[in-house]
Amino acid sequence: MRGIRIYVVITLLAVFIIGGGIVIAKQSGGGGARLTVDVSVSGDRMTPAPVTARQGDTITLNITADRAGEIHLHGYDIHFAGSAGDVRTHTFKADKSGTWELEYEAGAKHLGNLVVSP
Amino acid sequence: MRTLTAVLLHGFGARYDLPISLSLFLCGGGFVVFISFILVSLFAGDRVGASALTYPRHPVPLLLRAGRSRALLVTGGAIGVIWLLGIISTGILGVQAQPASNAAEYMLWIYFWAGLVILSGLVGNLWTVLNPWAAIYDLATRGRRRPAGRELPARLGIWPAVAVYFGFAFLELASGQANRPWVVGALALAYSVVTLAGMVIYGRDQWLERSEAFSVLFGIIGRFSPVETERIAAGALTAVHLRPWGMGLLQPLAAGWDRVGFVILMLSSLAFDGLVATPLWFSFNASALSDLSFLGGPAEPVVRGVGLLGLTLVFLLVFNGFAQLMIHLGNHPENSLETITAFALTLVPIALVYNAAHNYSYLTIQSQALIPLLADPFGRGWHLLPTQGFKPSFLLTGAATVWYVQVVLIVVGHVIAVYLAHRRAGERFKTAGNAVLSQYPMLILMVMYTMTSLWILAQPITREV
Repeated sequence: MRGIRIYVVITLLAVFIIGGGIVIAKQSGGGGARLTVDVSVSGDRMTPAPVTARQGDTITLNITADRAGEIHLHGYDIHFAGSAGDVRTHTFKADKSGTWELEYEAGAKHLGNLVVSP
Repeated sequence: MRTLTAVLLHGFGARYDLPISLSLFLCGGGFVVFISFILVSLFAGDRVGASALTYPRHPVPLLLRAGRSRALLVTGGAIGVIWLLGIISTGILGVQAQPASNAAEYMLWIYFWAGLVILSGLVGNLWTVLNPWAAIYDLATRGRRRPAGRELPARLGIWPAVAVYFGFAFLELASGQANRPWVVGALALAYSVVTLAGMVIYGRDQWLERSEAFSVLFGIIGRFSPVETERIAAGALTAVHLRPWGMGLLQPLAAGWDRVGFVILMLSSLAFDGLVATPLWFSFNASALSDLSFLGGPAEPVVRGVGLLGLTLVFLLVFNGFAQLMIHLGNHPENSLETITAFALTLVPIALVYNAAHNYSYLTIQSQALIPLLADPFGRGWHLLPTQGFKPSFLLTGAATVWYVQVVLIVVGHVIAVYLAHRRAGERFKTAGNAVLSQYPMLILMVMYTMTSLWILAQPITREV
């Protein structure tokens, strides 16, 4: 009896661990759309914030800022360079899920996030 | 809105996590309650008395030989000393403008503070091998334990270590200085001087066991690990055993509020680290700061410091309340401080798994950023290693993987904690009936702690701009 009980607990844990893995694997995916997002930056704020996407989407970000200075998208390591008023465009595949910061490279001013859900 | 870039999450750096999804939060939470119930009904009062604390362990002569070998001590000590010198030198002399470009930040906050703590829980108390101050002391005294010149007053207990630990948590989470490399380097140097002086004045082991917070911390975490060591008073290893994870927390520990406080501080500082990133904290923080605006710059550290202290006291009061209820229901009023200390230790698995879950992406993504820095640790344009162009891999860090690892870790830690508390209750409360009855408050407390961990992981990560 004593020996069986610990196996009951281990079995329940194993069911949870394996079942959870299957549920999560089923939930993720579904990206693959093409998105175009126009982002405007004024001062230290960007709108819309956050920019949301699903993993696997192809995103075109058009950033317009009210001042010059390179804007850096962390994680994807993309630099949006340009002067005030320019439309700075990059197209990339959102292959990494997570919360990724956009900030002015000089002074590390945080503007908002790109949130890529699985 | 105020600008705030100095105070970041953790010691430094941003977090890449996504909050866990609501469905996962509910699944994880539901399972925690379910398995707790199963555990209690399956194991209800099966063993009482001293036999409740026995666990299987196997001697490992190979590890004993390794642990006694000079080569291991010298190698471990050398790594520890090089690491410490690395933090001090790159911290003080390296790049200051961007903490993310300074190796000291990674070496302290990611590799030591998150990494070594988790690794020690998994494999064994590595700090006894790596402790740079012990290594320097042993080198200077040629390994002879000199008698202590003075005694630390007995009533101080391990309160000095609790104070140092609180100070370290304050530096990390509240001071806003943790992402300043020169502050990190200078404090590491200062703490080294204090620790070496303490060991000389008060004796090596007395200082390490009672005032050196990291030795106390790794000692507690080492109890969770599967490697059990036995030493004679002079420090020499006499036996090394392997045991199941967590079981070492059932071993005897000196009773006292200082020990309880230390364990509770482990829980509360981790919870505070998560809490400060939640929207709840941001709204509280904003109103507290506007009330304290007369303080100027120090207002932020004051609010956070009070928050950290307040959360610690709340955790302590809640724990004590539940522990008193448990002792009352278990009908075992004598030695209550001993009982409270013993049960505080059963919470360690919950703290440890939350630490691993909370720091998962920190350890898997940001840790890699140290690799290119090694080529040029002082930002002088050197090319010591061909690692300059290294780009971090995001292989293990898909949000779905992270969520999964986090929830599984938290559930497993909870199960271990409930199981340990059940074994401890069998030993403390003598009869099966008392032991079972006493476990209900403890179970509620553990479910509360675990739910708090899950809740924090499910909160959107906020950062003021």
